[in-house]
Formats: sequence, C-alpha cells, structure tokens
Amino acid sequence: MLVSLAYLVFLSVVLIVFYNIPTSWRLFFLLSVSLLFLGYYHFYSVLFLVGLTAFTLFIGKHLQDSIEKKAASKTIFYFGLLVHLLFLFGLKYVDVHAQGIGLNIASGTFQTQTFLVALGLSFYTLQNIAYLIEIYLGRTKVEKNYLAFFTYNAFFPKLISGPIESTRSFLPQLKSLDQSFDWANFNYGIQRIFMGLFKKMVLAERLLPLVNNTFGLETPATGLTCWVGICLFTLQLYFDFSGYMDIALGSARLFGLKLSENFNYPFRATSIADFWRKWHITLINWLTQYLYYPIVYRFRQWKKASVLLALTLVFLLSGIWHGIGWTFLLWSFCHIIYLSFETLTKSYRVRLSQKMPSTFYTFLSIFITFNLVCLGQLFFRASSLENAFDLLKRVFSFPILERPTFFAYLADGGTQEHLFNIYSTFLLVGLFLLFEKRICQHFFSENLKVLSLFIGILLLMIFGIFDSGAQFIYLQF
Amino acid sequence: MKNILKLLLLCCSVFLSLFLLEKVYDFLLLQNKNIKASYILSENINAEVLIHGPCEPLWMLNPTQLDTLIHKKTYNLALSHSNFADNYLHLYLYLQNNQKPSHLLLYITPESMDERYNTFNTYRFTPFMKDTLIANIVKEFDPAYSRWIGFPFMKHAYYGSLINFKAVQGLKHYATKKEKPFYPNGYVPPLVQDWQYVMDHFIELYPNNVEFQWSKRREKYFRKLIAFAQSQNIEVFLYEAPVYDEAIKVQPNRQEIMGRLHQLAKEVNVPFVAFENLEMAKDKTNFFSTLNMTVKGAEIFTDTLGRYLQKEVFLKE
Repeated sequence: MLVSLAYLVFLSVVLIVFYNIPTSWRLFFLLSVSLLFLGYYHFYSVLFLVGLTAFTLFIGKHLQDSIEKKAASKTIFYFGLLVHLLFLFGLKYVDVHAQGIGLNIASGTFQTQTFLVALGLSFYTLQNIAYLIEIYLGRTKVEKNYLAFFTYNAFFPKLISGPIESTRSFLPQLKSLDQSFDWANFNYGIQRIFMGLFKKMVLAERLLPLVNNTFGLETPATGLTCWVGICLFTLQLYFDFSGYMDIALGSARLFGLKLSENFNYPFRATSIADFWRKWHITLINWLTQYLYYPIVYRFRQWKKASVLLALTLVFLLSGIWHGIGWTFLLWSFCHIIYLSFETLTKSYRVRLSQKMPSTFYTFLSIFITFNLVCLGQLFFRASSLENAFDLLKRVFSFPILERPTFFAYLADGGTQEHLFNIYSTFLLVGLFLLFEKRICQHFFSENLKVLSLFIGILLLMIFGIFDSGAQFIYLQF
Repeated sequence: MKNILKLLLLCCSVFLSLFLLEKVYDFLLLQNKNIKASYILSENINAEVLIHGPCEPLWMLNPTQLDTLIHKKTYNLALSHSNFADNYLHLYLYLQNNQKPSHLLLYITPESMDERYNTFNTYRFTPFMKDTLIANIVKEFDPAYSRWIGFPFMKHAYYGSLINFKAVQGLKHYATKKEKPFYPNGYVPPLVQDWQYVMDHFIELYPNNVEFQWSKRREKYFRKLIAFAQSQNIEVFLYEAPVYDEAIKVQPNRQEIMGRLHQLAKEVNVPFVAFENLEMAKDKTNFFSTLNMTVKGAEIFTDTLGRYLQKEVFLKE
C-alpha cells in the first residue's frame, strides 16, 4: 500500500492541496483523504472505522457524564470495552466466509490474507480502548473536537499498521494544523520515506525468497543453514515493519505531524526485556500501561509472582492480538519463559556481568538475545505447529554445517546467479545492520543530504525488488 | 531557494545517472554471450536446423549428436520456462542476424497450451524494448512492467534480481573478449535431480490428477510463430517427446488435448509426430521429471528423432 507509485502520487497531491487551503479546512481535508485512502483499498473498512470511532465518542461522553454524576460508570466503561473487544477478536477470527460461522483458527497462523475484514482495526481499537480507560480513570477529558478524534483514528499514514498513538501526544497536533510549509519537515519527511522504501524494497524483499525457501521446506537445508534461514525471518520482519514505520513517520512529518517511534535498533538489545523496549514500542507501551502495570499493582503483595503473572497475561494477549493459533501461543510462551527467567535471575546476571569484560558480556548478551528472539519468531512465522517442529528438527539434524551447500540451500539452487544474489543480499543487510545507527542518524535529518540520497536512490534502483508485489507483513494483523 | 536548488540538483543527477546506467546495462547485457538473445545477435550461427521450444528440448536435444544423424548444422534455440510468445520473439531476434534455417523443430505437448506451464519471461527482452514488436508483446504479457519502463533504468531495475548478475557477467565477457557462450550449440545438459522429490512435488501440486486446460492466448502465439516461420519459408516440424508412462495415467484428458494439437497442426499445415509410446517411456531412469529426460534418456530420444527426421523428412526432400 505505502510502497507504490500510486501512494507517492497520492501523497504529493494531498500535500500540495493541504498547504494551499485555509488552515481551518485542513483537519477536514486530512480526514476526507484518509477515508478515501481506506475506501480505495476496502470500502467496508471505512464503515467499521467511522462506526467504531463514533461509538467510542458516544461512550466516552456518557462515561464522563456518569462519572461526573457519580452514576454507574463501570457498566458503561465495560460495555464500551466489550464492544471493542468483540469487534477486535470477532472480526479477526470469526470466519464468515465458511459455511456457517465458526472460529477461523487456520487463519490465525502466519499468512498474508487476501481479504481483510477491516483494515487497521487492530490498531485503532487499541487507541479507542486507551481513550475510554483514560476517561474512566479520570486522566483525560472527553474529546469535544470530533473531527480531530476521527482524524486521530483515520490518519492515513498510520491507519493500516500503526504506530498506536495516545490521545495526549497526537490529538493536540491535529488541533493545531496551522503551520506553513516547512523545509525542515519536508527534508526530514522525504528522507525518512526514502529510508522506509530502502528497508522494504532492498532489504526485506531480498530476504523474502530465502525466508520462504526455509519455512516452505523447499530445500534440504539442515543445521546451521536452516537456522540462518530462520534468523533471516527476524531480519526480514524488522526491515519490513520498520520500513513501513519510516514511511508512515516520514509521510506524517510532511504535514508537520510527529508520530511515535516504534523501533529503536532492536538488534542491539542486550536482553529480552531490553528487546521489548526497542521493538514495536507503541504496542508494548500500550500493553504495559493498560495491562502490565495494573496487574502488578493489583497483585503487588505477591511480589515477583505478580510480575510473572503480568508478563504471562501481557504476552498471551499480545499473541492472541497477532492471531489465534498454536504457533502464536508458542511464540507467547517463548517470551513468557525468557522474561520470567530474566526476572528471576536478574541479580545473578548482574554479578556475572561484573566478572566479565564489559565488551565481551555485551556482545554475548546481544548474541544470545538475538538467537532467542529468532527462536520465538520461528513459531511466529511457521505456517503450522508441524511446520515449526519440522524446522526445529532440521536445525538439529546433520550435517550441522556443510560448506559447499550452505548458501546454495538458502538460495534454492546454487547457480552463479543465485549465489550472486544471495551474496549481494548478505552484504547489503550486513553493512546496513553494522552501520544502521549512523545511517539512520544521517538520514533522519532536517537538512537535505543530496549526495547520500543520490547514492541511496541508485542502490535502491539497482538492488531493489520491484516485481514482488508483497504486502507489508503487519498488514495482516 | 537553496532547498529548491538542492532538490533540483538531486533530481537531475538521479535522472541523468539512471539514464546512463540504463545505457550501460543495455550494452553489458548485449555483451553477455550466455544470454541466447545477445549471442544470436552478435554471432552468425547460420544453422540449417533450429531446435526451439521450452526446457524439454533445451535439455534433451544435443545438436552435436543430431548433426551426426541428419548431417545438417543445428543450433538449439530453446529456452527454459518459455512459452510460444517467448519462442516467437527469439526466432524473430535470431533472424535479424542469421540466415534463415531450412527447418524449425518445435516441441509441442499438451502442457504447451496450458498457462500453468512455462511463461513469458519479460526479463529476457529488457535490452530490446525499443523494438515495437517486442514492446507490444511484452505489454500484452506484462502490463505492470510496461507501465514502468518510461522511467529511466526501470526496464532493467524492475527485474533487477534476474538482470544484475547477467550485466556483471556481460562486463566480464566484454573485458575478457569472450566469443562463445558456456554452451556454444545452445544445448544445456540436464542437472541431476532427485526424482522422488520431483514426483512428490508433482503429486502435491496435482493431488486429483492433471486436467489440462487450453489457452487461447497460447494458441494465438503458436499460430503467430508458425505463420512467421512459414512467411520466412522455414519448414516447421512439430514433435512431442516421450512422456514418462506413469505420469500419463494421472492425465485423463491428455489424449483429448493431443487430438486438438493434431487438428491444430493440420490447420496450420505443419507435420506433427508424437513419439509417445516408445519403449523408453516405461523406464524411469530415462526421466528426471514427467517430461524432462536424463542424459541417458535424451541420448536415446535424440537418436530416435534424428533417424526419423533423416528418413522421413530430409531424405524425402
């Protein structure tokens, strides 16, 4: 969706109109084009978005009224919550296409669905729930600018896959769209969009066939080759999702709007807890704020057990949010185990770190964390439980390392052309990861980097994949 | 103003560089002797007999063996995974730089008329997109690609993962002044493959038998190819090689489609011989898939075909 010429043309036209209409029309204009954007891809999604947003505003108002009158606010709050949860999980998992209505467990596994019941639903329902909780807890007042609230949910760059914004950070920005065109925002925006395109088209798309070969069991790869193929999925997912985020954040910045960051160099994480502070940050923040902390507080007398309980519930919900299926459940369990282990061994690990050279400890921590994350992602990506265990069996099969076929098996062949493609992919991905922080800091700037952009565009044109037609992975959640 | 100038500078330098890069790629791809289209345009092969079709004849008919039987200079122009439109354009390119062959041996089978088998490979024609005939056919088969090619370098970038290596190899061939391709007579010996893996894959793909479909577009380009050859006074000989016996059992409408192929051959006035019931079709070791032959099978069939052609076609002329 965001990686297409159509999107770039759409964005350019919207941008030109946006800065040439009276400031008082801008909010309405942004809402209109956002709904148009959504309707273009899936008309019925517009109805869901408008309906649920109107419902949230309605419930929010009644909730506040009842709080002020000290009436039965709890009932209204839980009703609002229940409706959102019914839509979130109902629409995602009830298969209305099958004969009768039943749980669509099969689609709970990792697959790109061609028909999406309501685009962006998973993301804006969480925003709506957060809004209702904030009102219920008295931390915010009901939003009186309905137009702004509708745009808060519908704003097209973030509509499909987030980031999940809070009303406190994003609504005030939408209510003050009176700034004139700013070159600093423009430069930052286009450079960020370029970085997103590069991550998606060059890095994620080049990894896609290698990942598909591994997970589709297309090659007889075993041992280390199979494990590398599994690890590549984690990289592909990162480049795919963070690439989408870069395009979303860059697009928003062109309108002078700042969206929240969703990634913070996650492969530099030194523990799983650290990883979750750097990966899909807005979802984890939401879960931490509205689930983890309340549970820990509620059961604080249990001490460490309350933390373990909260972790379990947070990751079970996160797994279900991604999909109902055994594979997502196992992904959740992996992270519950990792984080529980980290919680219980914190003091021991601190002592251990003091006994080792800090560079070595950090490197070892990063290496272990990355591999544990990849193990979890194996279940996340596997098409079924059987597929996941087949892959695990292969990882522990001989030969562990067979040099002549190492790359050939990953590339599903081994012709010179396959090897050329795989070497260039490894080189591009490796160099990018090695210098990622520097590259990003350089590009995410308010000054136009002409030479860097020039080199980057040439690299994109030479090594980019233009014909895959692959959707963003997170579109399906 | 400074920002506008910077943007202009960026746009101009990108466009100019991509334009130059496109020319460089055009040149390098034409230098790559391993690309059949480039080789036939740079070398006068002037074969008397041309072998054409998809991967089956490419891996099956060795011109060196065939030459000894028919005593005519033969070249294998077949291309893996190609359909009739792809074959048509390669014959068109071949005739731009070579004398007309007297005969064209075209492989045809029920799979040839089914869109699920083989395809049109746009990436093979990226350096030739200025040719109207090629551009029009590419547009018909790959409209998404055609929409992009107005943008500098996009004609190569669109299928970059299939082009970059060939361009680099072209550079190597240019630098080393290479004259002949890796397979000089066009024949590519088949790879050794695990039969069971292929057969399992086949069963996975078609668990409930294989029902062949007839594509009108395939028929259209088959007719175009034949008409083009006939307009150049090239004698076309259609043949079908043996198919592994076990596979035929799961193809209930194979004979029906074969009947249509015979009818079509009659309509276009071209002889068609199906070598389906040879003894070699019963021996699994002659095949590495249902249609593709091993080196052993290919040698047996090339011998059979060569003798047939010598006796029934060339000696009678």
